[in-house]
Amino acid sequence: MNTLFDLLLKPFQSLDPLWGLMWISALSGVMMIQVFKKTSDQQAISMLRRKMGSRALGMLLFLESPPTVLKLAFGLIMDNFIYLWHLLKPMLIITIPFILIAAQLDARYSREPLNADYLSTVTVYWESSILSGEPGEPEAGTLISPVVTIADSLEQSFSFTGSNGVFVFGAMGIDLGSSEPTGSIMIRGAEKGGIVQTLLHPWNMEAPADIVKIESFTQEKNYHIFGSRWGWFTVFLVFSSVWAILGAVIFKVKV
Amino acid sequence: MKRRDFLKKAILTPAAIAALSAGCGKTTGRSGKRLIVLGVDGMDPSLVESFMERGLMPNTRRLKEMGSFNRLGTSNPPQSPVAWSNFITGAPPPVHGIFDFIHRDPATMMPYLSISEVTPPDSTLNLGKLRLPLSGGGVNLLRRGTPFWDTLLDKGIPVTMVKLPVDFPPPAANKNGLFLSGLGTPDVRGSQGSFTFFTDDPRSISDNTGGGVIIPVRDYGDGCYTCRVDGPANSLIEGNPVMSVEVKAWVDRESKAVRIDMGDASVVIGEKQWSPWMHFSFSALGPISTVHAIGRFYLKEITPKFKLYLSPINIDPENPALPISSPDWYSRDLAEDAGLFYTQGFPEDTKALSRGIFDDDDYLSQANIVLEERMSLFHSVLSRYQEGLLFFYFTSLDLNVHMFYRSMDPASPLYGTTDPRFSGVIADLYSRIDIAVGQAMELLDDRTEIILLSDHGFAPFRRSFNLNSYLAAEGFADISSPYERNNDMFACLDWSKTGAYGLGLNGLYINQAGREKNGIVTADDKRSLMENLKTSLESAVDPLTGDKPVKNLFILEDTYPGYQMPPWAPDMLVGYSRGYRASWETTLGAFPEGVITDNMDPWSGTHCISPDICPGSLITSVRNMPENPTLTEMGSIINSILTDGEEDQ
Repeated sequence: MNTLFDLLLKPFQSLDPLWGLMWISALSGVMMIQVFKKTSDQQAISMLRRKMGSRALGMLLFLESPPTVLKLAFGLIMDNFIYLWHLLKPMLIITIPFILIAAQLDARYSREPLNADYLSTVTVYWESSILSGEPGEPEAGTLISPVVTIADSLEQSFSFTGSNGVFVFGAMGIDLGSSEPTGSIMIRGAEKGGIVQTLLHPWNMEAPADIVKIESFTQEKNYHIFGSRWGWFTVFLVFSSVWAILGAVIFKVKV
Repeated sequence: MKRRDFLKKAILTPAAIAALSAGCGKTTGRSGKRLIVLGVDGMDPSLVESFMERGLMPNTRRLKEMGSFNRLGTSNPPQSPVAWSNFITGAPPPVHGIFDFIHRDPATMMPYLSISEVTPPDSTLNLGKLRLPLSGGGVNLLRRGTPFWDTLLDKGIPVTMVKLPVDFPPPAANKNGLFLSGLGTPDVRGSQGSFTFFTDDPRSISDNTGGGVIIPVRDYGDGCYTCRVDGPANSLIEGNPVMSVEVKAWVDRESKAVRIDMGDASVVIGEKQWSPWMHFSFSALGPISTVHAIGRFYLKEITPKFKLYLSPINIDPENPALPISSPDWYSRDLAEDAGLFYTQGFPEDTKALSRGIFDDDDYLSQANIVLEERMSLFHSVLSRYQEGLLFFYFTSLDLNVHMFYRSMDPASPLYGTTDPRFSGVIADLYSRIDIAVGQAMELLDDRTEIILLSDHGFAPFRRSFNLNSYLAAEGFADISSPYERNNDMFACLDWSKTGAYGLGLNGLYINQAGREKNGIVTADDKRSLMENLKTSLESAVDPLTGDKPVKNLFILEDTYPGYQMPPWAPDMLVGYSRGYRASWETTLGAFPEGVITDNMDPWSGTHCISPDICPGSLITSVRNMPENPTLTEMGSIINSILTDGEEDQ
């Protein structure tokens, strides 16, 4: 997944991150509408929509006959349930790529690059014993606070600032952020796990030996759109929906 | 941002296209002139002269040489809310209604802050314990009168007023106006700034004069202190319970640091370190209604005792719970560009220093954060300034000179105990303001002018005058219960024998029949009582120094003849002599022992004295300024500059 997204985003590396985010959102919208087309019963949906349209028209035509309107309304409600049933299968199938895409976008577009102006905090959860002695100075970035050790829960925390997008503290097995161009994965921590963890949390690296996990709190990124701030997920939802609707019109998909 | 940079960004950022189209609709000013007004609270003309001479204010000196330097007539009383209201409205206190920091309601005798008020809703829908507001309620600015910039806005001239005092809540949105409220803006608890101090040694803080709360906390052996941070009262629930959030502070006594966990966020700070701004969310009604706020922690000490300071919980400029800017997006826009900043009107925590929570170093580190934030805000505002009026307000000089006047005043009772390291604090502050002046001067051209002004100057505050104790000693007030002298305001008074009382920093009131709750002085007797008081107070002598503590006692109807006084106005204003000021107890109507005492509070500089002693400063690139200008005239001078003299016609 990481390589696929790196390739897809290659043309956008030198542009504002919003372009890459919008590109993936648009692609996802179009792709999801295609998946919807392939996995749904288009004929049944088409028939159902016509049926629902005719029931609605019937209600308008027979306004003077409340029993008829009620009957049609009841039919319309039932049709809605059937419609939702038709949507269920494609939606369940779409959920899988949706989660994977969202994870990738979260890893690439949800955080500001680590920099000297923003104080971030990291916590290391040790497996059995805490690294003793002075941890020394980081290779990249600056340690702002002393290291707090909470012996009972085998935790160590400190605050830091990054340098050119990264913070590297080899003594504690920490390698955060990214010095790669826009749209690359920004590492936020580490954890133990297999393929599922890698797919769902692409922002985490494999935890070093003796460490259960590493968590960091870094600056969230917002995008300025139409005079307000949008999180990456809002951008993704809105733009993928817009492109899904456009795709439905272009490819004549019955939704 | 320069237009070229903006266009470049517009090409790179699709979203900026929307911003560009919005910008195209912006009305441009008629004259195309630019005027930058730097309002520096408390910049004293004598100190400016001295620092210019010593080469500490080269930019200010250059500005003076381009135009002029004058002493600027201040308000009476020379208190910031009064002075800035004079500036805003071009009128004296009887017109704008602000006479002091503190007013009192004569019907109840309760004091209240004079700048703004919070009113509860007129009607609510009650659902069990839920109280849903239906109509009314909100925050009201108590300053009256018409602001001078209304003329500019009417003419389509852009107006930007940043951190403007006595302007909370800000005016209604105007397509040509940008406003960010300054002095008078409360914290989320509704106070003018209330710190929280978590400690396992609460008894070490004996001073209980307000300004914040001391919360005792305890480590139960796991190295964790659970700290409850109180936010605003929840007006949606019956009884208005206080909303709070829990913060866990994990201490490491070896490394002398603490990890502060709050919700999903964590930060680690060492001893004498400040956290960055942290976001607080106080839930009023689950996820439906949340009050967003910001605060900064400061780890004062970890061993032998745990001492963790939390700044007043400020309104979050990115998500304001109360209106602090107009249009409402402006505060968010500034915060995004310049970073989060103190939104409360009095950002320097002078009370924490006065109460011994901070030492001088702690206080200066906090004051430095405030000034750096303000400089960053100034830089942001200046970089987008195109035309029209730009007013920017600096508070640091005023509050820091209040606290460190003792460092340059050998006659101060605290001079000997103030570390000589701090003798250059005030000079350094003036130099840093001079840097801002230099930044503004970079924009000077044939269509741009600069005005640097202050609302008042400064004087030492060496001796405290207990006005109410004086009135009692001289028979103008009667203390019926001497055991309660220092307790509740006026609790010790026998109102049936009291003719006058003091409240606020300069206010003196007649206990007038028909106005005051327990008034006894008739309208016929009022004038003679005021004249007696004037004679008495102006002739009072400090037995220690032989000086007269009161230089002038101003009878309001003589000082402002022809004006109808509102019921909250004092009847007289006490114009203290240089070196004297009303004691802190006087400001809240208390009657401490002794009439004149040494001022042992670090708050060692003052301007709440006779206005002729502490004029403000006016340094400008504008030539042909009127002689002996006053703050009240500045609005029309500004309008005149920006409208090419149309104002004068």
